[in-house]
Amino acid sequence: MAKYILKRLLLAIPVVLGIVTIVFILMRIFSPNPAYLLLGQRASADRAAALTEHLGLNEPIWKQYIIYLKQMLTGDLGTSLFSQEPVLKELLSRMPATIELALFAVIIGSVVGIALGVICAVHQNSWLDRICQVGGLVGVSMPRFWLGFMLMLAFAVNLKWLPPSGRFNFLVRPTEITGFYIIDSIITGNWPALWSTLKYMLLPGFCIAIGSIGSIMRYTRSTMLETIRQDYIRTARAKGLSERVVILSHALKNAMIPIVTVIGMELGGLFSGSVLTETVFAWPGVGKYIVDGINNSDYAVVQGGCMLVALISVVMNLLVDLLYGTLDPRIRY
Amino acid sequence: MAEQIPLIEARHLSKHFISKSHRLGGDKLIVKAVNDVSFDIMKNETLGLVGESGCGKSTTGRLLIRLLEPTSGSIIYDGRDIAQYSNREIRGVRKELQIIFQDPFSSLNPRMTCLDIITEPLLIHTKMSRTERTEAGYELLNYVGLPKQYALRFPHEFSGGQRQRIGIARALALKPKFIVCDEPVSALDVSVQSQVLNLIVKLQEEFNLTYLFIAHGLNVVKYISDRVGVMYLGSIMEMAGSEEIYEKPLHPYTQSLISAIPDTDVENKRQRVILEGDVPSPTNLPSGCPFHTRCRFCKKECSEAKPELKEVSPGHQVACLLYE
Repeated sequence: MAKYILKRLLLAIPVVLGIVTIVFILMRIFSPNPAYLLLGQRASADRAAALTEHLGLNEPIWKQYIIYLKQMLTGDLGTSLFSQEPVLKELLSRMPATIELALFAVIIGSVVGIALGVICAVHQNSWLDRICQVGGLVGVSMPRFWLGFMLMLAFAVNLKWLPPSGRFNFLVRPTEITGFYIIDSIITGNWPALWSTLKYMLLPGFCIAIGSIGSIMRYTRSTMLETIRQDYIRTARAKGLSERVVILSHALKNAMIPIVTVIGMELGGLFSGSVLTETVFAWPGVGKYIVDGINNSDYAVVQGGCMLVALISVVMNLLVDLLYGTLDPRIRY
Repeated sequence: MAEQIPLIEARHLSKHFISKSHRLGGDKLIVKAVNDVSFDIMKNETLGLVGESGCGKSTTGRLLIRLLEPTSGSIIYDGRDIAQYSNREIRGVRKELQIIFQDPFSSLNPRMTCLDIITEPLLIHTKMSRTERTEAGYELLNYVGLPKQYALRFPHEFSGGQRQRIGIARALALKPKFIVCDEPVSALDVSVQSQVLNLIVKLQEEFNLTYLFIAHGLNVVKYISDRVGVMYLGSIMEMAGSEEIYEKPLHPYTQSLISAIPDTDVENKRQRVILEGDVPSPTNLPSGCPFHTRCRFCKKECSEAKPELKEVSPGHQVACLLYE
């Protein structure tokens, strides 16, 4: 087991290195010289050249690349041009916002998605099943940024039930301990802050969850349909188990592997920041940080952010694979 | 020998499945798997049921213990008609009516340990404590000849014969009165088949069990059964004591089946009765006798009325116009 984990982590090195390299090259090719962005469009050529020199951007690309890799090995992801803060520190400070939103969305998505999927599989081809399938398809295929604007328009602008964007209200902001506002407000017993945090999280959370519900539901339904037809389900019925136990404890448990894979993939994607949703809702997380970095030609920010995304994806995949072992006794590492 | 009191009586039992055509806008097809079948199973006897694949023998077995709901007909068990039972009532008699499935590879939940598989029925139907259940589980393992230390292994860690022993232990857990053995050895190697068959016979004596033994291998059925029923296209064609049916088969279909049993005796030159054509589709049954399309002795009347199963000599019933 430990050997397997070590092997997988070693295999992750070329993946992360490859992504860092690609992002490094793409940023140098397609992003404008950040010197002009820092100084303004009308800056004199001399000043721009001096700043470029100062930032080390007039060196050949391969030299810059080697310098960056050397820095990276020492745990230094560089400094943001605009905030002059270390990228690593900024990324870490934004992770809780992203993780909190991702967990919120995926928990809603998994609970609702698995429940609906099981119901649809048990009542295959009923009107409820058909409605859920069409609804799921709409949920998966609806662009999230558009859905975000529609939710905002409905619940924030017209109904005024929920705040349109941001993560907290300055008046009732919880004291930051872990950075996860729900946990922080519970620890400090700050109930108004908890209520306010949940209200801010509801719109972006649902915006993400609607897509997750769709895909998790469809996966659950199809694997459940397959599992329900297995011989050992017939055996379970022959034991005289109630239908509820047959479905939930015999069928669903065996159907969990593909479902866990989808949930893991969703979570991996969301932990690295739901770029569109965070941007639409001005959610101060990793996704928005990377988008801002791209807009500002902030090389170090984009490179560091993308490396984090790659790392998280690799780790999530590994976790899902390890989970298989506990879900299916036939799988051993 | 078996007592002559019926434990289960099937009366005019039928099961029709509705299958949709795969074509868009296709018609619904009705698969008539079992048609108007009546027979008794006596206490402590083993009734063998033979027939080709798809003749409805497994469906009949599953109907008897109400794993399937009959389309019509009644099943009298212990004086009650369990064909009319609701799902809840069925679970009440479930511990007396059990089944051993054909394929020991797919019929065990891959995520449960051997011990969990065989003791789960106890968890639902009895109020035993965990340790009592585990003890009972070990005892069951002992009955079916599996060492105690295998209890915590998962199904994939066992061989086919061992898995079938787990399947048998599971069926025995609630001390049932009646067990449907649905081709319990057909998925096993020949060398293992006899071990499992001997186990099934031994357990019958020990626990006073009544069996419906479904198989397509005639040798196996002859070895284990007191009486044998022959099914063809959802109907019983002939039923008699197992010696009698092998010595004196009456129905033309039974005769062809018996003549097809492989024989190692080179001197014994038997007359092989080879059937022509295929089994008709159960969605579109022939009129009259289901076998008339392939019968050597087919007469005009055979296609007109379905012959009923009638006793022609004591304990020997046959459904054929030749014997009327």
